[in-house]
Amino acid sequence: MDTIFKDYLLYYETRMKRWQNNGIYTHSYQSEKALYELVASCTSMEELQNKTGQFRSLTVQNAIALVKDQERFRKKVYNDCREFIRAKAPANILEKIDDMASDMEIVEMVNRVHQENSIEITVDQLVSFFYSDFTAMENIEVYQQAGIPEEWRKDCDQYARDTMERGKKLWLETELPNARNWQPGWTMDYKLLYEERHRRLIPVNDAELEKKIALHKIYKPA
Amino acid sequence: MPIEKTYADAMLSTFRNMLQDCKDKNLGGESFDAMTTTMNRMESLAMEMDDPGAFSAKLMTEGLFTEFSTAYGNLLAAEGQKKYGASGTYDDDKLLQQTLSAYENSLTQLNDHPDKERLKAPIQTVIDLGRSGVNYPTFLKLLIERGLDKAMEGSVLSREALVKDIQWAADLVLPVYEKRNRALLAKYDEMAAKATFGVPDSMVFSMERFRIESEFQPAINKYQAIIERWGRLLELVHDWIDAHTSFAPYDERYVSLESMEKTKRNIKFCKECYPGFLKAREDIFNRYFSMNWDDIFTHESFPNERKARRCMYTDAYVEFLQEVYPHCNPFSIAPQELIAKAEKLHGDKTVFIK
Repeated sequence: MDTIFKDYLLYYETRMKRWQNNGIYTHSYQSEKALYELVASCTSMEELQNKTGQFRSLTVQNAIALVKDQERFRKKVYNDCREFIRAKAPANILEKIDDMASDMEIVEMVNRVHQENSIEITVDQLVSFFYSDFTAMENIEVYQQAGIPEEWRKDCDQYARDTMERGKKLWLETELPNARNWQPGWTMDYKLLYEERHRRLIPVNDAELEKKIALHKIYKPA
Repeated sequence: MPIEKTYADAMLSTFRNMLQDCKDKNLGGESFDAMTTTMNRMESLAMEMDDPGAFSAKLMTEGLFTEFSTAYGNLLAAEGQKKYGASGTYDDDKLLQQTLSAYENSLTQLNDHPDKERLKAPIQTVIDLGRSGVNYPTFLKLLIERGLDKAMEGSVLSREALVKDIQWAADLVLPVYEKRNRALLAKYDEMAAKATFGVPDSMVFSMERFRIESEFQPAINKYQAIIERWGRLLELVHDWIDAHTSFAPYDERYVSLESMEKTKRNIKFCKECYPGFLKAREDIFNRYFSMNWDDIFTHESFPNERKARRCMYTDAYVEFLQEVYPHCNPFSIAPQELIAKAEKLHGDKTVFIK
């Protein structure tokens, strides 16, 4: 056995062993093992080069296996974290991966799925407008409900209206058009706020959340 | 009006350079044509649109970045096939030399990077290994065994970055962030200890990082929200008592540049409305977090914010605010002795820490 061939065999053995007993890279271990066994079935570089077709096919299987392992793990973590929009990308990739015939096809498919998902994530996160409006909504509540002398009531009501108007203007002239650049016709879907990925980021109880949603519908109307 | 040039350049220059590089190399074919078509579309949008946000969204929603990158990848792969594919000749030593040259080029590109020394170190180790006389398969095997392939992904740097993040949170007295950052480092070290070659898998770590950050974000949001609310409560009491003092007409919190009448009106508004505002905000504070005025001073965020000098009141002034608070009620005015005390604390410059 010539030295260079022996060294390639050792290299493929190292690649295979990297994933041995690894609970995440199970597909990769199997495909690297198949690749190693192909190399090990030869005794020289010349013999290996005669099996180029088989070798290439296994390297594509290797790429597929790696994508499967990685996306399966991503899907699990996103699902564990109740990040169902983010979990769509690995789920889509896993659905399509077995139909891929070349590494470039894999790259192209993965890129497209991620690109589509990144838009879905951006659109999903547009509801964060709501929590960022809490301070302004509290100001409105304070102006409207504070116990103050009657002579200041008109002023405070005006401050509340001014805050409302500024918010509405910002919403209609800037925030809503920007959001609609990402999804034409986008409107705030308040139901999304109750989904765990959004709900856990708003540190108030459900009763307070409901009050704020009612106010937000007036403050920033669709 | 087109997108502002600096913005369009920032968004498109990388793609322009990639296309130009392919032109300079006289590359052509279907993928090259796809790159050109996509580039033309991006340039047209830059000319037709005027809002940078809308422009950026358009590039993304039309998938132009992905289209361009995919075509570029296909073009490079096709070129690689021409050189090393079925018709090309396999040369082990040539492959090693080309790999090392690529690493050497990347060293030059890092010259302007602020972290260049640390980023260059693993690359230099890889080059030294390749130049040590080993053949290509041994070089590739050693990269894996020594974890250098992971080091090239930035794993070495990321541990240092994780340690720095803990220090950053400790320096800024942000305990929830510190706890999160310690959890990240612990996960990194746990994975490193279990990893076959002692270097954590970057994909797995990035997902574990996502998991830990997701777990801590609610606590971070709550902690910040509490601080913001009690900060406003202290400010209201502070502004209310000071509105009664002799220095109020000269204090920027109340002064109107329009007229003395307006200034007087601002002071009157503060004296008469702020107690009502305080009660309304206390009510919000209580509804959100089941906390009241007294809880501010026992909540962990209070000493932390003071230690970090984001809450700048002196000990004496915090005590004073607690003394004022029971008097700050709707339709009440401040007692004379507290007004005198506010004037003294102001005069002695003992309101804020120096």
